[in-house]
Amino acid sequence: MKKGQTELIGIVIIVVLLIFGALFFMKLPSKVETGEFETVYAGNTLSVILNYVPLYGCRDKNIGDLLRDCKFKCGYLGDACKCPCEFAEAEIRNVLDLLLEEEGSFGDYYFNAVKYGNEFIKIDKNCENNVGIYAPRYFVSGYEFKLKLCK
Amino acid sequence: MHTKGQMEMMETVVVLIVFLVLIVIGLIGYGYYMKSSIKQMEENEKVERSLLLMNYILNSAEFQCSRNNVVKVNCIDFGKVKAFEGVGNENYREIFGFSKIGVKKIYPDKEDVVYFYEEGRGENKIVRSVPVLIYDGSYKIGMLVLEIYE
Repeated sequence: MKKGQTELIGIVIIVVLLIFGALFFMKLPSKVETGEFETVYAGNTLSVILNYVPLYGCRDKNIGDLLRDCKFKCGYLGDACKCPCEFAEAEIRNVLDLLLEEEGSFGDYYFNAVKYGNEFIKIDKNCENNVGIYAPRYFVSGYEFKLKLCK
Repeated sequence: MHTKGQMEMMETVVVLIVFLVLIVIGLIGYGYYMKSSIKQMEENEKVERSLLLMNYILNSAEFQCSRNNVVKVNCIDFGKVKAFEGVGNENYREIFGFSKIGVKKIYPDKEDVVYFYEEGRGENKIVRSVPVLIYDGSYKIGMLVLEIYE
């Protein structure tokens, strides 16, 4: 075997070793996908808000029921049964501000409620057009509720 | 004055040294990568455990709210939590492992966290909390707090 051939074999061995090394680096995927907990967090937040029954609300209606009662806005924060839009909106803001302050990793949020394609409630705290985590979509009899949390 | 044989020997030695240096650099890099990768896997394992625990707690009859056999989702009955405090941690060690689990009311009134399972061990832990409804006569919004230890 000539010297040139031996050196070539050496180079081939080094290249093969490097390829195996690179493959090994790529072969350690993480089991939990990044953002999985955040998605669960956002989903729980939306579910908890919609199922929350305010103490001084309208009978035993939860926020989801109040949003479904929301036909037109009164323009002021009055009685929860007469002005369900304003009451629900104020409660959602209060709850989200407190929950996100407590959790710490999210600061801003975007919530909207849509009935048959028409948005009738939109609460945006610097999040609608920013990068964030969406809660899984929440549908109740023709209504769709969305929540997005931003860092 | 070097002979041709000595020159070739020197060349082989230099090639070997370069090769060894490359291997050592590769091993060091791989070591660092493995270290951070193992740390990441440990963190992921804890996050996964916290998700499993959260799922268990929110779906077990020991904690969830129900009225007339209708279960409310993502809701913890505070009365059941208080009753659980007396059950003893050793009965649930197999399920909850080394962790501290509690609930904290946030809205409308903020209160301190109430731990109902406390088997923390060591310093290395992750803390995760998820929003839940808490029922204690009326509905409150709070957090299920999970501290997962190694």
